[in-house]
Parts: sequence; C-alpha cells; structure tokens
Amino acid sequence: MNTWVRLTTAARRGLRAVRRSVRAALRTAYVSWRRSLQARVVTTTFLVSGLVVAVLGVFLMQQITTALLEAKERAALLQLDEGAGVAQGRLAVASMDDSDSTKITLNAIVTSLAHRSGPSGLYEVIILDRDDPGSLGFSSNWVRLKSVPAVLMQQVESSDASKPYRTYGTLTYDDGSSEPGLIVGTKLSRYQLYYLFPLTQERQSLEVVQQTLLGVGAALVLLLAAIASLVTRQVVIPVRMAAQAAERLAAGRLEERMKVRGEDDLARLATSFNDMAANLQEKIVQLQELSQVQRVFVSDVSHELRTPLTTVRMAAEVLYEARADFDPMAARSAELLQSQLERFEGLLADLLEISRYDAGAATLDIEPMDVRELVLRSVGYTEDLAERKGSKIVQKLPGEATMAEVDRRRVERILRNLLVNAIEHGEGKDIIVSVGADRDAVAIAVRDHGCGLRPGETTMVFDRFWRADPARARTTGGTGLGLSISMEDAQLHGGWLQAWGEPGQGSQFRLSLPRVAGSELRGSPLPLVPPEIELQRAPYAGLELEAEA
Amino acid sequence: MRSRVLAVLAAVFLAGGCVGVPQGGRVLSGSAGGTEQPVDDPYVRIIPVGPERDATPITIVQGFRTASSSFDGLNGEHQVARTYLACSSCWRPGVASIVYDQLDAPGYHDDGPGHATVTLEGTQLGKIGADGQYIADARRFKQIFRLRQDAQRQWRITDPLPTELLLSRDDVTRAFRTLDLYFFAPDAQVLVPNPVFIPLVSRSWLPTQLVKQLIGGPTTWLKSAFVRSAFPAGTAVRKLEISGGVATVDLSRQARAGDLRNMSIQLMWTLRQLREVQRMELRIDGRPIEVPGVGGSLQSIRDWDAFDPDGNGEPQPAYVRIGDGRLGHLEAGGPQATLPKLQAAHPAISYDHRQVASLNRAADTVTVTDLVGGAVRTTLRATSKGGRFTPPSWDSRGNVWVVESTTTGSRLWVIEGGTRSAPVDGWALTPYPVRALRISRDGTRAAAIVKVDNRWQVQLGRVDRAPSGGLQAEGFIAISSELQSAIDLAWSTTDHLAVVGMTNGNSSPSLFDVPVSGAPTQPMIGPGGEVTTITASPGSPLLVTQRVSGDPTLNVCRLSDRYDEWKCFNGTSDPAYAG
Repeated sequence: MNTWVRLTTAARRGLRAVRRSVRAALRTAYVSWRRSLQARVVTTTFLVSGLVVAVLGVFLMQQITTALLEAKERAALLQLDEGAGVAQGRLAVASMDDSDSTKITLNAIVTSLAHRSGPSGLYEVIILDRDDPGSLGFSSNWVRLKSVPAVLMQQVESSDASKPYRTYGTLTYDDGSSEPGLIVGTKLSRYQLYYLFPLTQERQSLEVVQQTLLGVGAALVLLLAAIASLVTRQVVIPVRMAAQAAERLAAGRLEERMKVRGEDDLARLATSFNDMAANLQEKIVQLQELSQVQRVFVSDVSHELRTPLTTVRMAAEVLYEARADFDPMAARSAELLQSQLERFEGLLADLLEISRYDAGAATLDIEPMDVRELVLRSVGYTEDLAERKGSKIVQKLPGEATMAEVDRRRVERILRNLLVNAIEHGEGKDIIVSVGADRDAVAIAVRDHGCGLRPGETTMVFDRFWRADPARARTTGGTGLGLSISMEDAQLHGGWLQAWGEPGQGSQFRLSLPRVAGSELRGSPLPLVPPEIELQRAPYAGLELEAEA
Repeated sequence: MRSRVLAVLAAVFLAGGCVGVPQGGRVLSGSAGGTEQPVDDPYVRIIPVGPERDATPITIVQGFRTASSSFDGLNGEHQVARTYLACSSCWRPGVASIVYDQLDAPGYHDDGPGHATVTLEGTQLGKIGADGQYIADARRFKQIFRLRQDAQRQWRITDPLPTELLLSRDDVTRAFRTLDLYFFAPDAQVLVPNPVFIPLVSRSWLPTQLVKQLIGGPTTWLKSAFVRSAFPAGTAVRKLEISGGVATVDLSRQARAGDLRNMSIQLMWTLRQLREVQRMELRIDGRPIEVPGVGGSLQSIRDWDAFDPDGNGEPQPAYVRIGDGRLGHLEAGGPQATLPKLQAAHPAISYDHRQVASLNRAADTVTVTDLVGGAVRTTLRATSKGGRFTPPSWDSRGNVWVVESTTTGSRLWVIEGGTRSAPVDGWALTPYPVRALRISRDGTRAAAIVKVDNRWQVQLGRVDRAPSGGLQAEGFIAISSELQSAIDLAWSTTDHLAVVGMTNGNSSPSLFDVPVSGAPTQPMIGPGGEVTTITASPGSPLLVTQRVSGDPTLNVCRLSDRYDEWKCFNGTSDPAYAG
C-alpha cells in the first residue's frame, strides 16, 4: 500500500517533471522562433525542403515500383507463354487414356516446367485438372493451391484457351510461411496452368531503394537546413552586431561604432550606422555642453545676486523699521518690500540647492536616526502655521523606535515641505502623519483632506514651479521648488517619494526610505492610497465586477 | 562559340551517362553469394481434393485412392483423403503401402439400397513396410471397400479401412524420398546404410523424421544383422533446425550417455544426404556439444570423411584374366601380365590385395592363392553331384564367400581368413539355385541372384551370427520387380548394385543401376554386344565382360569415368576389383 502510494507519487512527480521540461523546451523553441531570424529561416527551410523531398521521394518510389513490377509482369507472361507451349506439346503426344497416365503426364509437365525455374527458385508451377476425382492437379515444391486467388481461377476457367491473366497475391507454403507474389495463369484445353512468382527479390530491391531514398532525403534536408543556417549566419551576424552597437549606443556609450568590412550592403549599413552615431554623439555633446553652461549660469547668477540682495535687504530692513514715520502709502511699500525680499531670499536659496543637485554636488551626511524623532521635530516647526490655518496635525507613530540611516537635515526638509504643503492645501481640515516600518524600510505618509489632486497631477506635483492652480498668484505659497527638492532628496537616499490624490478626497504623500543606506528599496511598509479610500472603493469594485458578469 | 558547343556536347554526354546500364567493362569472376541455399531438386506434389457432390461409389473409391497418395496435413495425416470416409478419425494409416504396377477397372457390387461394394484389383510390384523398408513382391492384390450413403445421400467408405495405401510407382516417386539411415557394422567402425522410404510431408518434416528414424533404430529387416547404433535408449529429438547450411540437432538428456563421436558420425552421414545440410551442430538438452576430434561445435561433412562406407573413393587397381589364362593388371593403356603365372577363372581379390580366390574351368573347385608368392592356401571342392560354385566374393574381414549351387538347391560356404572352409548352416536359400553372390564391403549384407519361380531374381540378405555362434546368411528379400531376369551383379556403392539383366519384353541383357532401397532401377548405357559379367567398386570405373555376337572371344570393357564411353580390351575376360 505504502509502496504503491510512493510509486504513484514518484510517477506523478516524474510526469510533472517531464511536462515541465517539455513546456520549457516548447517555450525555448517559441522564444528562439520569435527572437532569432536564423532559427526561423532554418526551420522554414527544413520544413519546406522536407515536404518537397517527401513528395519527390513518394513519386520516385512509385515510379520505380511500377517500372520494376511491369518488367516482372512482362517476364512472367513470357514465361507462362513458353510454359504453355511446352505443356501443350507434351499433352498432344501423351497417351491420356486413363487417370494414371494423365497423372504421369501432368506430373512430368510440372516437373519439367519447375526444372526450368532454376536453382534460385524463380517461380512455382501449378497445373489444375478438374476432371480427376480425388485430386485437383499438381503443384511444384511446397506452394499451396490457396496461393492462386479465387478471382483469377474463375477468370481463367471461364476464359478462352491460351489467354493469359495476371494478378498479385500472397504465396503460402506448407510450412506456414508466405510472401507476396505475382500469379499468372492460362487455360490449356481442359487444364489450367499457373505460374507463381515470388516477389521477395523485388521487395528486397524496393526496400533497398526506399532506404537509400530515405537516407538521401534526410541527408538532403539536413544539408539544406545547414546551408540555410550558414547563409543566414552571414547576414544575421552583422545585423546582430549592429543591434548590439545600437543597444550600447542607447545605453549611453556614444563612442560605440560598427566594424566596416568590404563594400556590400551590410558594409553600407555599418557605414550609415556609424555616420548616424557620429551625428548623434555630436548633437548630444553639444546639448550636454549647453545644459552645463546653463547650469553654471544659474548657479553663478544665484551667487552673484546674493551680495546685492544682502545689501538691499539691510536697506529694506532700515526702511521697514522706520515705516512708522512714513506716510501710509510709503509704509505699505516698505512692508511689501520686506515680505517679497524674504520670499526672494527663499527662492534664491532653493535655486542654489537645485543647482547643486544639477551639478551633482549634493552629498549625504548619513547617521542612524529615530524617524519618529524627525517627525516630531518637523511637526513642531509647522504647528504654528497649522494653527493659523485652523488645521490639526494628528500623528500616528509606532510604539518602538524606528531607526534608519538617513541625512537628518534633508529628511527634515522633506517632512517640512510635505507638512507645509499639506497645511496650505488642507482647507483647515485634519492632517494625519503616519509612520510605518518593516525589516528593510521605513515610510512616512502625510495625508490631508483638501481639494485633492486631479488624475495625472500626482507626478506633475514634483515638477519645478508647477502649481495646482495656475490662476493662483505666485505671491502666495512657497517657492514652487519645494517638492522638486524633496524628490531629489528622497532619490539621493535611494528612496521613493510618491503622491496620491483624488478630487474632493484630499491627497497623500508617502516617503519611503531604506533602513540601511545604499540598499535597494523593494517595497513600502505603508500603502500609497489611504486605507479608508481603499475600503470604500472595494465594494463598488465588487459590484461593478458582478454587473459585468 | 566553339567552347559553347563543347560544353553543350559535354552536358549531353553526361546526361546520357547518368542513366542506363553498363555496356562494357572489366571481366569479373562472380559467385552468387553465400546466402543462397542449394535447394533440393524441384519436387511435385499432387493437390488432393475432397469428394464431389453426388459422386458414384466408384468415383468415391478412386478419389479416395488418389487423395490418399498425398501426405497432406501437418504430419502427413491425409487430411483430405479422410473426407471420403464415413468416420474420418478412425483411419490410422502409416507409410505402409502397396506399390502397384497395373490397376484393373474397379469392380462394383450393389448391396441393396444405400449400400455398395467396390473392389480394386491389380498387380503389385512390392510393399513398403510401416518402417519404410521396401520389399519387392510381384503378385496380384485385391482391396475391398464397402460404402454406404449418409444422411445427405452421399456415398462414403465405411469399412474395411485400408491398412496399406494403394500407390502407383509414379505416386511413390512423387510422395516419398529414399534415404539411408547409417548404422555401424557389428564388429567394425564401418557404416552400414539402411535405406528407408520417408514421405515428403513438408520442408521441415523430412529432416526431423529422418533423424527420428535414425534414433529409433534400423528397420526390422536389418535389425537382426546386429548393426550398432550409438544412440542410447530413450533418446529423443528435441528440435531440428536447418538454416544457412547448418543443421542444429538438439537431442534430449539421455544422449549424454552415448558415444558423442559415433552419434555425430551417424547423424552427419545421415543428414548429409539432404543437399541443404553442409555442417551440423550437435546439442544436448539445448547446449552445444564439442565432439572430440572436431574443432569447435560445428561439424562439417569433411570431419567424418574417413567413415565413408564406400571406402576412400579412390580408383582401385583392376585385375583381369588375359588371353593365356593368367591374371594381370588392367592399366589405363591395357592389360599387363606382371603377376606370376596364375591360372584363374573368375578371380576375386581380397581387400588387402594379398590373396586371390578363383574357380577352375568347371567351376567345381575354389582355390585361394597368395597373390605374391603364388602358394595355394586352400582348396574347396564341390561336395554334391553337379555342384558348381558361384564366383567367390571377399568381405572386408578377409573371408571368402562362395555358393555351391545345383539345379535344385544351393549351399553357402565361407573360407574364413582364406584358409579354413566351412559350410554355413543358416543358409536361407537352400532350396533355390543361386547364380551369383556378392558380399557388401561392410560384410553385413549379401546380394544374390536366386532362381525363384523360374525367374532369376536379385535378392538382398543379411549376414550375421546365428544364435549358435556360427555365421549365417538369411532374411533374403527381393529388391526389384522390374528386372525379369538377372545374370550378374556387383556392389557399385554401398547402397547400389550394378546388375546385368533383362526387363520385360527385352531379351538381350543390359546394364541396370539397382538401388537396394527398392527405388526405381535406372538403365545404364552398355558397351553393346552380349554382356556376361560385371564388376564394380566405389569410385572406380565399371568393368564388364562382353562378347560380340558370332565371335567367341570375350572382351573386358571399361567405362570411362568422364564420358559415357566404353573402352574394350580384346581377348581379356573375368575382370575383378578387390572384394
């Protein structure tokens, strides 16, 4: 019982393994069919040439068989004709007055005709005498009367004398063996004479021919496939090399070029590919240079603006301090000047930061930190603003410390940016800050219940100077660079910064960071879509599915 | 322009050369390849057929006789002939047959409604016994068949079911093969042939049956001649296969007790009569046996050539009586009188070529003389009045056999070792006159010309030891009914006799080859004239004494061994080979 179970299990396992390997082989074949021009050409050649060779082979085989059998039939009929002549001669001179002497004559005829068959046993002879009780006639050697088909016998019996008939049949012998044969027969006055030719030799010859044809056909098909493979190789290898060069080019290795051999079409392809690559490289280098110049320009401008700005700011502060002495119109101008200068300073700082990123000069200052602490501090910075806007910041923090290797300044900046952003668009409703952690990553999500984001805006929010409402004046809100910088900061950590939002449902921003600096982030401990929205959606989704069904 | 024409010509030539058969080439020697087996001579069989509907009783009996001449069915059980019988499974015929010469028109008697009797009568030539032994016995025979109509009003044979088949000579030649079983002579390593008739049932049946009969022992006729068989009692043939010229004989366990060498010799000599057998592998209980004296388990025909019952087959020196009555050698060119002056009529030379036994002119004295010194060893005179001796005959043991015959009877003498003469007590032909007696080379059989019913018949007898210990010659059977009268005979081989005799309707004596098996005799071309004596030896040319009519001179004629051409030597007579 146990063994049986084990056996069936083993068998099932084996079957599964076989099925798996077959499936794998099919998949490999399909993949190479899809991917490799060479495989396709070789397979097509193989199939088509196989079909052609098979058709040709069948035709050839039929022709040879027909020719061989026709020759045999002619020879058989000649032999029968001769034998009939001999028999008739003997019958004419023999005394056939009683049953015994008839038998002796017939016996002698069969013996002499069989003697002509020679040592290789070309044929057997049967002579039939319907008038003798007890015997039907004589047969040579071990052939049975059953070898003469009844149809032929009827035909010969009802026919005119000396008209030969032939048919194919099976020769059976006394020891039970049988072989295919050609049977010819004719009528001699009241007797019937049959010659039975075994076709063993012919069958052997045909088998040899068939085997040769099969071998040659198989060799031909394989050879054609090999030739196709060789020819396509000559075309495919340069094409493959071109593809590789193009891939490398696409990967940024602009100095990649193809080898040019000879002057054929492929050489022309390589030349034009190389020309294209050279042009591309030139243009890209130009663009890179241009962008470099621009970045340097922005950085320089920012730096250069700083010094006069400091001076302007000091002067504006003097004016602002003394605004009580001015007439209301001038005092209002001084206040305006002061506030816009602060904004200008912020903008300048952000621009500098951005240009640092663009220049690739930003570095991380890694230390292990408790993320909760960072959240608490950031919330502390922004609580005033929240109170002013009438929002309450709700924190959902885990009970134990959630340590991660981060740059504290940059993460705090991200959090601050997210919080400020949430407060500004929160329309005075609650803002929820939640922290989640698993073995590899930590995540911080900031949720507001404001007007939300329209579809497609979730990626645009991170663009530089993008605004949700273009009509909104640039005077209010931040610099328009906050989220861009946050994005850059997150990416510098190897983390993600993603946004979710729906109109009327508010929005949520989630920052996910790896716990160990430099390791790759595979997933986030917190969902991007807030759980309550997900829960609301689910029943409707179910309903829709049912409606569809 | 010219090169293009050449190219076209070359293309045409090549295309033409691709197809077709060679029309010239080297001269090669070729054999057909070793795969083809030498096939037996074409063999013709009768196709038996069952009774037709509403056939008359006579047709039924004739049909039954014809159908029973075919050994059809798997083991030759006459399947078709049985359909003529009311009870098809009751009939158990063997090979026992009456061989008829002439069959009279069948006699018919109406025994009342639904009953009839048909009688077949005719002259028979002889009988084949149940063990395949043929005995010539020319006389009348009669077979009675009672028939009855069955429920479908068809006539069927009810009784008596014939115990012997009724076969014409033609039927026998067609349905049987005459083959020798080989046994050892009682006191020497010499093979004795035992000819038997074996029916041709199927291709594989014949060899198996042959070996079965060999193991089963000699026919009842030869059995008491004390021939030896090497096969232990109870041995059976497990399997016999012939393929590729090799006969594989698988014997049962009991064969282990036998002499492997002797068994192999007997098997090989028996099987080599079948043309498809070239070599033999002996197996016992399925395992191949290596026989001492043979390399490997495959034995070839050559391995046992030394046991040829016909001796080594080399031409023997011939002796002849030349003009002045002396004994001389018959060389290729003619007679040579190199021997001492020895008056010898009807000389017989011993197998060791040391002694000669001869008759005097009146044939009433036998003298045994040393061939070299000419010393007379012994003399035997006729004991009865008017008694004349037949020409003496040697056996391979050195005994001289001679019959003293009168007009009313005969007496057999043996001169043992050429010195001590004694009458043989157990002489079966005492009441008959005897014209010639020749002992076979192996010393187990004697061929004689005996006057029975006023006809000089060729008979074959056994030579063996009587229970009392003395030699005897008995069990004489006629072997041919075809010869009307015989004058002289000689052993041409171990199973064939060369006979001078007359057939029905031909009074001048001619030569015949008479197989001792009883198979049909074959006439041979003689030298012409009146043939009086014949001498033969295996492998040597036939010698006869001939006299041209009107001329009293006797001539010895020799048959050329290459062509059927006789060469006669004027003035010589009484030719002799050893034996």
